[in-house]
Amino acid sequence: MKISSKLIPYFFLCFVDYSWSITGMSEYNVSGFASFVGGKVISSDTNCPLVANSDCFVADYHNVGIYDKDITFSPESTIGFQISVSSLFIDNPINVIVQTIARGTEEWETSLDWAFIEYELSPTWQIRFGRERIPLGYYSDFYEIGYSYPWVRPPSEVYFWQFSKLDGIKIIHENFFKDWNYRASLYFGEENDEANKFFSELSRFVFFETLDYQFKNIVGLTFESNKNWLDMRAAMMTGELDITQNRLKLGAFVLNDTTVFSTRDVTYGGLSINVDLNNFILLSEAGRLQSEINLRTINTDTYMVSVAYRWNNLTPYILFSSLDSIDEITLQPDKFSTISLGIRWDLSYATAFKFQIDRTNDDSEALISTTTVQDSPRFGNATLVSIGIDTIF
Amino acid sequence: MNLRYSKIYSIVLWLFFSQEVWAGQLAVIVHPDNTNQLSKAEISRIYLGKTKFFPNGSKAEPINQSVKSELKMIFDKSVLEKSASQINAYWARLLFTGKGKPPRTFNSDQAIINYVANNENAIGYINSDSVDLKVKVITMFNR
Repeated sequence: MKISSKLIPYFFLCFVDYSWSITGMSEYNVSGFASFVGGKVISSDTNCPLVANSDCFVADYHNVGIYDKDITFSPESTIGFQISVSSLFIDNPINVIVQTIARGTEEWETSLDWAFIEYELSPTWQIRFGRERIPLGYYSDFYEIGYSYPWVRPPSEVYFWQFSKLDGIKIIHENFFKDWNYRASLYFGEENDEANKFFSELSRFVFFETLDYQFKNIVGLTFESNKNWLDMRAAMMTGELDITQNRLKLGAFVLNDTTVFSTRDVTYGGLSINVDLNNFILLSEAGRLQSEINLRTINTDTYMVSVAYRWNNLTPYILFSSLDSIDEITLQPDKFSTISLGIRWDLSYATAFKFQIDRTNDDSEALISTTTVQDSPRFGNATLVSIGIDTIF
Repeated sequence: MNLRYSKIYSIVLWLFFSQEVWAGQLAVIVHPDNTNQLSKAEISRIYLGKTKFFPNGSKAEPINQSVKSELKMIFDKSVLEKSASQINAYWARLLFTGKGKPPRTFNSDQAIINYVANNENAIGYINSDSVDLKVKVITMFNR
């Protein structure tokens, strides 16, 4: 079977004796996580630009996880494996982390999501070289670890940004002051991923062109601080997005194959505040992404608020999220919001079952342009039912 | 201390620990040379990886009971004040983002005693009934 054959190499990981290492002074650990999620759009008012003749609900922009009228399990199901290696030389503390994730959206092809070497400069300072996440939002780093949050997924309104892999350097400082722990990081790098999947699919469907994106000169800062029940985080980032549009010779709009280059300056700022009083949980996040292309500015404001209540093994929750994007010149708004109701049921120490209903209201003004790609044309109002099981191992 | 005195000492201690008042409690143990005093909050910080050090600045290596043990459940509830799944969700976030890894686990009190007795940086917790002279008890919690 196709799926299992791609996962076979990982099964061998289970049989390797990790007590050995080249230096004899390293400690190996293998761990992983998996989510199996199914969903179905139960009502919708618009045919989707990405799914021919069907309703749709975009659950995950980055991986193009889109549900339609049929029950589907591929949009959000994932399985990930991590190998962590720690050097046991006291005066040479090095950690290596490699994490690969196989996604239903990629027909279970694996991608290398994390691969870095961390050197501990001192007990409170570390430097990392390699690949990790661009830590934009609170959940960006552990977006796929469904077990670690109450919902089926972090809301797509807040996690709409399609670039996630940072190849670069990160400097980390962590310490504590009285009851407060804090952690600050400064990072530099670029995203070296394949052509952006979401925009490429969209523009191929709508505009008969393919798009290549390169996100470079990324510089960012994060600061997080927490005590027992309170957890706060601030993040900033700037970068340059190089876009190459390859228009295909097709139809009346374009006579010849042409290539157009453009660059956008991107700036992000975000804030997250979370309260966990053991039974009562409040989770919130807000951010603004500013994208500038030839003095034309597009501001995208996002926020989410969620309230949950832990009652033994059950955690019912409500989640509201919103995205409001406006182009200062064309004044075309992209505006949608989702209200979600759901319940998490902890089946064991490491497995949780989830059920969630989402209702998205799309107040965007649909606009089809032959010269510019809109970040998101109208997808329509839609209601999605999803069930999922999340585990860590 | 010569052998005879240490024997007497251990008998006294054995009598002391066999008293009803200590029976069936959760004892937090460290290496005998470890001189740190720890509050519940400080023990919790060490077990949640929020600090990697004892108050005197030496490195702290927390040791856990296995997931299935009843003692871990009691420790989670009365010291960390969280459920097992809350703690697992917490560690999943740290582990899969390279920010930290959960404490090493051992399957029995005896294995934990042996590890703590041989590692100056280690801290563990066991049934108070299992305590022996190879380790030092720094605090007790009611079960």
